[in-house]
Amino acid sequence: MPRIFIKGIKGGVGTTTVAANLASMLKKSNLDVLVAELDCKNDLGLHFGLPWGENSGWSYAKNFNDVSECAFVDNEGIVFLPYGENSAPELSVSSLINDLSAYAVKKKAWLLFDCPANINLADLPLNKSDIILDLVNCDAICHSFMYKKLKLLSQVKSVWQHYFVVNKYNSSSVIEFDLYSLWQSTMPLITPFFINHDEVIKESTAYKNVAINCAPYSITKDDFETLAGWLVSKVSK
Amino acid sequence: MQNIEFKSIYTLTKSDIDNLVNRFGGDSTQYLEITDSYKNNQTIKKYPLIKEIQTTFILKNVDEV
Amino acid sequence: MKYFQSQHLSQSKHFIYLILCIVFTDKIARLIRFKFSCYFKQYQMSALEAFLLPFFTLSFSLLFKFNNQKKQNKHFLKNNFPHLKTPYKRYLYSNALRCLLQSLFLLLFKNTHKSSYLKKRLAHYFHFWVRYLFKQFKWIDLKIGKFFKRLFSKNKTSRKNSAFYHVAQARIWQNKMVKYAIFALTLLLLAIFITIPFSLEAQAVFISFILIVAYSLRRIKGQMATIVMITLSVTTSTRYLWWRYTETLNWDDPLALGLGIGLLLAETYAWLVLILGFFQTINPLERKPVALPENTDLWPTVDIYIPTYNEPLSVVKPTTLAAMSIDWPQDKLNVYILDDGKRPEFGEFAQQVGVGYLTRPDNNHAKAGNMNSAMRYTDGEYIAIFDCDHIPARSFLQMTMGQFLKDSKVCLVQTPHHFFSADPFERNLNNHSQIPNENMLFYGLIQDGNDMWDATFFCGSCAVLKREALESIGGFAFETVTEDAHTALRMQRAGYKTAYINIPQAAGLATDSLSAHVGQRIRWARGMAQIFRLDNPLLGKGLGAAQRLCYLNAMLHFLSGVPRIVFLTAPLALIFFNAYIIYAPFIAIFIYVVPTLIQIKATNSRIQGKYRYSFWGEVYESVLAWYILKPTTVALFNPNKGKFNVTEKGGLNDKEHYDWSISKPYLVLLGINLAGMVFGIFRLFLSDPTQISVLLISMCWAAYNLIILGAAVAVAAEAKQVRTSHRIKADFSGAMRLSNGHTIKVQITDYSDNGVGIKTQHQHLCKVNDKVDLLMYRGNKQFSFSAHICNTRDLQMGLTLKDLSLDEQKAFIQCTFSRADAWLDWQNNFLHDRPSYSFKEVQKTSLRGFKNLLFHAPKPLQPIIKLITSVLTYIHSFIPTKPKAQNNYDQNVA
Repeated sequence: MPRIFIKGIKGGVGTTTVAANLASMLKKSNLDVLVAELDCKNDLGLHFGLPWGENSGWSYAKNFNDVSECAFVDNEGIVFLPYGENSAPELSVSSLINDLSAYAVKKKAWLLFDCPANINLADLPLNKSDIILDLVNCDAICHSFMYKKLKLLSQVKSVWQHYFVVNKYNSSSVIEFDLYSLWQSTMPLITPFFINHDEVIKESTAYKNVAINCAPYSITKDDFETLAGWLVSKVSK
Repeated sequence: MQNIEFKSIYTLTKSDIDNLVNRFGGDSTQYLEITDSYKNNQTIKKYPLIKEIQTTFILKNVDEV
Repeated sequence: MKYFQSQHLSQSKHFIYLILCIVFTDKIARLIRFKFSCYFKQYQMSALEAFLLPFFTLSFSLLFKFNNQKKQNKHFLKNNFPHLKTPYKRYLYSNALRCLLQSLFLLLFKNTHKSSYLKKRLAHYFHFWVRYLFKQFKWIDLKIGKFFKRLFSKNKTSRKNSAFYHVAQARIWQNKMVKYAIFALTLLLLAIFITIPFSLEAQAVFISFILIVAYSLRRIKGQMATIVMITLSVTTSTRYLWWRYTETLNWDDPLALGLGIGLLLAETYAWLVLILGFFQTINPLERKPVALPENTDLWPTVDIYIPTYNEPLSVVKPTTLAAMSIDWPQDKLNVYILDDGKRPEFGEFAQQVGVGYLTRPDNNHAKAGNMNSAMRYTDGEYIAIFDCDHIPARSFLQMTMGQFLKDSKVCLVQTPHHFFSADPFERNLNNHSQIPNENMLFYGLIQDGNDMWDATFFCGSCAVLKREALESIGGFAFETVTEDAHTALRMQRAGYKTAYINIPQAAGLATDSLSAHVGQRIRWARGMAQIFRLDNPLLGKGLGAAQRLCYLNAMLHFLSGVPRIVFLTAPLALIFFNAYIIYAPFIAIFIYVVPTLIQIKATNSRIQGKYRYSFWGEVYESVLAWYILKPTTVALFNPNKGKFNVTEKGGLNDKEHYDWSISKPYLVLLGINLAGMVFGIFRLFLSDPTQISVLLISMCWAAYNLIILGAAVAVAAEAKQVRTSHRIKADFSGAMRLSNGHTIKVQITDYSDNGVGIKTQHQHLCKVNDKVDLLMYRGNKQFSFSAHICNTRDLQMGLTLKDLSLDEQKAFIQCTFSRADAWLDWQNNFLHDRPSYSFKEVQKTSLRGFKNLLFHAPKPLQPIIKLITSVLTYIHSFIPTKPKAQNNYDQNVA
């Protein structure tokens, strides 16, 4: 069963949003989805309508059984596992990943991981069917990070599939347009599509919902459909 | 894996090239979208940080190879 | 006398009253008097009216029952006398006459309920039987169809043109002797079959057999059936021609002989064109684009020439921007504007944008000279040429250049000329995108057929040429006014091959007025005639037999002036001069002529159905006939006379007017035919009965000519052109980002130079004057354009893009005009031809033409026309009409 790790190349590029919307889109296509939050920010639940006071998460769990008790299901049927408010979790990330993978295989579900920007991928139990989506925004800092990451990847001899995905793209902005034109033709590992900047993304969390539900006639929905479709084709190869 | 009704592999909206090759046979991968290298060079020249990264990265890469 | 105050009566009235009493009863007389005073005093009618009206009402009451209800009376009047002019009282006398005639009509012809019941029953039976018969016919039709289908579908291969290839590539052709033997045998058989004289009955049987086969083949798709139809057509038409030559010339009457030979020559021309046409289009090649090697270092260098003379910059700009954005390595692509007008603003534009700008000291030899001069300053291996208004798609070079790399002998790759604006026919007849336009036959079918025989010719634009080939023939040919066709001919003579790719990859403006259109055709006709005189494709070396025939057919097409005029005037010979130009009994004419025409029309409809509808070819020919007569004859005798007249593009017609100067020939022909019809009607009544049938056929033919000429006349009514920038229909997706940051997915429905029409999926809250960002794609790249909403209606919105920077203009063209799939639907929008429907359209157009004539009549004639029309309408108003819908009242009457 496919494992998708969604991280940002730096903080604040929209990782959690992308994870939540992607999960929702996959669910709309009748796929079972399980989203796990590896980021201690603990904001994944807010994207799925989790009550604000709800603090539980896997960071409190001592073993996998406990973990399954702090998973939630939203009203679309997406299973999500928040981090929780415990700053010193007992479970290691790797073992969590392995346990969840086993569980997902049984349930035939897609497994999405919402990862922090500073996660060290080399420490994770990844194999060559895992897909890492490294989210970027179109600015010079991300440009610099991307090249640094490329250097790193060539040194580490990664076993996973690594892709850069442009998020919050606004073609009206000159620097974004210029940079994206450059990336499209010269940047290795970049996906052939991008996710547009849309105000509804900001608004949707205020409505305790995901953007594709709040604005079904926007191109945001199209973008996530494209992302989901691309992932499906990658996974089935 | 369940069957999903996605419109195409890479992008949802069929590009005009896809329409063309669908109508007249052939493979859309055989069509080359030409890079606007002039514009790329302009971009690199315009933003000093980009320029620096470009030159350093290329140099470094050449070294490593 | 008790009820009336006799002291109010004057003497005369008293007298009249007395007379009344003699005729009528006292009661009635009193009623009349009462009514009279009523009408006279209250309704203020004149004395006479007031006196007559009671009589009318009385006489009516004899026939119809009156109610006291006024409303019912009104309804009664309205329903049974619907043609009375209102207000009734004003036209009292004429209305009275109308009433009288209508009453007679109502009396004599049963319009009441009872008989309609009978009518209903009859209709019901009639329909029942018709349906039953129809069902039987359908069953028979189906059975025949199935039989033929089984006959032809024995080898079901996936290739569409497999039948032709199957036959053409069979091994039996390898042996030359066998090839010639079979060819000779076929000719012999054909000769025997054609020349054998049939008795009338045999001919009737033969032709009905052929028609049955043709009818059953019409549902079967596929090339084999087309080949069978073609064979049948060739047989019937050749038989017909043989019959005409051997049996229908009247050697006794010199006038009939002379006219008859004229008609016969015209028919021979038509037959020749038909046969050559079948040969040319029997197997359109439908060449597919060839992929280029992955390594772009192997791609050749291409120069793009955009020659211009007097066209405005606004027309040349989009073409240049699109040419610059063609998907080809930048270092191997060079765009040049070749400006014979030497205008400084063009030079500035070229510099601003970064394209080459070439001029020359003189303007000799027009476009060819311009391009020859440019060849001295450029050095690309290939030269692509676009007329200044033909905007290329970005995929143009990648679709065409592969042919050159695959076969080094190819010197020319031509693509279709597609128009995004309506040509004069479509605009003036208002049938843009309902009927295939005139040049669709050539680019959709004929060039593809030419390609099969390696006889594609260069059309001056939307093509790529090999520089080496051009240099080997000394550059572009400039001795004729159609230098493009001549250049291709020279290259073919030198041993090069040509190719045609039937994918529209550029689109431009059609000629914008009928006179410009005719001017363009005159130039082509003259040029073709010049080529035939100076560099005859039928003679000289370097060309294959098939190529020569294709060129011959192209030439013959432009000689259609004289035959068309002959056809338009032939029936009059019989009507006016009683000259038997077809010297045969009526029944023979009917059996030979009519079925052959039907068969030929059916075959042509099958072959050309997507590209030209039946009968429209005659209209196009009629429009051009008179005008191409002179240039072709002059050019055939003296090829060097005549000058190159440039076709103007991009002009604007600011008001609706009728082009009298250009329609003079059609009006003359129309007048002659009309006179012929009238004369024929007279003769019908006056001449002896033996001639009536032939006379009728001639009149039918003249009527057909009238319809065609009417349509030709309709074209000359120039419609008003409202827009300066043309709006093109589209269907691709884009998006909009509103000023509040939300995005909406939209479908682009149309675009023009500076505006876009879009449609949203769902209700939107946008208002006019909102500022938005329009997002459009070129391939996978997204471009953003600042726009204003200028109108909204339901889900549709119109956006204007103003003050775009040069980069934005370039991007806009890339996202709209220059899309790779922008013109792909050009052929698919048309249903296949249906001859009867097409003829109805021609009739409608023809009627429109007549109406236009009357509407646009020149000032001095207008009073006469007004008088005639008003007299006719006045007379028409007296004709009794059928009463309106049934109501209860009539039941009572019956």
